[in-house]
Amino acid sequence: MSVGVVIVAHYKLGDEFLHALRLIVPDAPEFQSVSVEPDQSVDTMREAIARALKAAEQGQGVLVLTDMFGGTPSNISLSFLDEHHVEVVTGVNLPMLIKLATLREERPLDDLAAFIKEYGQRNISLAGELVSEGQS
Amino acid sequence: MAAELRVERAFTIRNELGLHARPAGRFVSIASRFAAEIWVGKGDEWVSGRSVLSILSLAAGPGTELRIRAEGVDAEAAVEALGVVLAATLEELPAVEGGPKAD
Repeated sequence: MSVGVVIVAHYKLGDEFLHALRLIVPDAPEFQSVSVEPDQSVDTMREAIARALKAAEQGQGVLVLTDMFGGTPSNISLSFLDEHHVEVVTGVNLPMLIKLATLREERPLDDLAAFIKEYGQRNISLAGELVSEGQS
Repeated sequence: MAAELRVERAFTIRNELGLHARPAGRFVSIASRFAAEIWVGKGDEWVSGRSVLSILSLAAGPGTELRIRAEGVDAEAAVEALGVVLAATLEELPAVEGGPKAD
């Protein structure tokens, strides 16, 4: 997959997501993570995100995954939409990261972003419903 | 030799936690080395052998019998290698190369 991936999230959420991803998919490609801390200035956050985008860019654009719409990591990531080839998907979860790490086919950035948003939503389940489905 | 080979074989889950995330991840990593189409089945339910979450959705506990089906030129080798993952305990899981993939 030649679209780069960057997680931007509060504290070390992104690092820990990547930690868990690597436990499950040890040969996952290298994804970037940016930790947004409450005592950082907006400039510091923007610089960290810009560095991560640069590190992730392989010529096909970068998919930015943030932890929550409306939070500062999301809001600052959105400010890169105009100046960089990026798409921002909010509400990152581990299924999304596992899927991105194991995709075989290459997809253009906008297509990949739409797919992974839908994939993340589809993989939120209510365990009780799964059990009753299995019994029917 | 036929170009399209179809191989299907059953394996029993020995991992004491069942087929959980790490073995499912290992299964998909190893499946990616093969050209064959790969499915995993529990009873009548078949899922793609290339999706960690789909494999997890089978909720295969210890002792469950799963079937691996592969279609393609390297189907035999694929079923052989992936059967090892299904039948392995956590300690026995075959290693995959860690770290970032080379460009």
